[in-house]
Amino acid sequence: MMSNSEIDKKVKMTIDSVDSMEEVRVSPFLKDRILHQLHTKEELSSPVFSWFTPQLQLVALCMVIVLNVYAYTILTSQEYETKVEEFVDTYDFEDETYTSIFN
Amino acid sequence: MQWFLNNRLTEEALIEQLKLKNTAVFSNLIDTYQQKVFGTCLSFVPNKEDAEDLVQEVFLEVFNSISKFKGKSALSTWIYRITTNKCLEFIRKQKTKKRTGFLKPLFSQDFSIDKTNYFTEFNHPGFLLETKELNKNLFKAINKLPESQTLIFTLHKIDGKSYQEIAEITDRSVSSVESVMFRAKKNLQKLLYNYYKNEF
Repeated sequence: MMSNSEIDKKVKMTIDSVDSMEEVRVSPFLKDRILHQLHTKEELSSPVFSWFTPQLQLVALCMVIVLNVYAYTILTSQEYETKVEEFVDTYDFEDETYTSIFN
Repeated sequence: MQWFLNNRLTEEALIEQLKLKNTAVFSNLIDTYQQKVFGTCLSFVPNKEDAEDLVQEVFLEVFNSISKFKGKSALSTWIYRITTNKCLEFIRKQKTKKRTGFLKPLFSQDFSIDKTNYFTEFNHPGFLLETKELNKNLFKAINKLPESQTLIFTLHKIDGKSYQEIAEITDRSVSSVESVMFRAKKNLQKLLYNYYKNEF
């Protein structure tokens, strides 16, 4: 069992062990790997619709939603139903009942 | 353009060229900073291969985010900031993998449980063989500290940065850095003391 002073000494040795660290040189091929990865990413990220940025996509989506909501409110409005009924009456598009000799 | 490369670009001109995605200038930037960035990464992540992967990520981030650089600090400070963020993110991911590693055998056919801590895979070529065990214990203890203490202790004690440099990188005052460093040392001593006391 280590005494307190021995433990303190070991703790100090542990913390001071980094002082003996030597410099490690980076791999000479790392720069080439970085540039290669950069060029690969540049080639991948040039799609046909690159002008259609996420901001434009969001605006387009919002416009579609607004148009749909507007169309839905028009369709469900009373005025619309009345106009459709008038149209049906005017041009006689009511459902026809067919009689059959088999009834 | 060759004139620019042959002569030392001012920092503003360098940043302008990087914003224009000039790869020749970027290549020179890598030459200037890769060793320093690698040294910093290796200080946090004592594994050469992982440190080199982090260096790649740092430079790609620099290239992709240079347009967001507002010039409030020096370019080197900004690069070191990205470096330290990438390193801390990597360490956080390793800790998450370790915490959730026990779930793996529940959901897979592989029933072997991986009990290794990332910092036991010590592969820092800069440390002497005779101090490898001490260094491993030190890195494990450093990564048990709160993140701010890990950051500042590593940058100062292992990467050799001055308090002034650390203050610029971490956007703190020098006195704040000194105070965190003092707390980090105290906590580290406590952690190591308890570790050695329980071990023997």
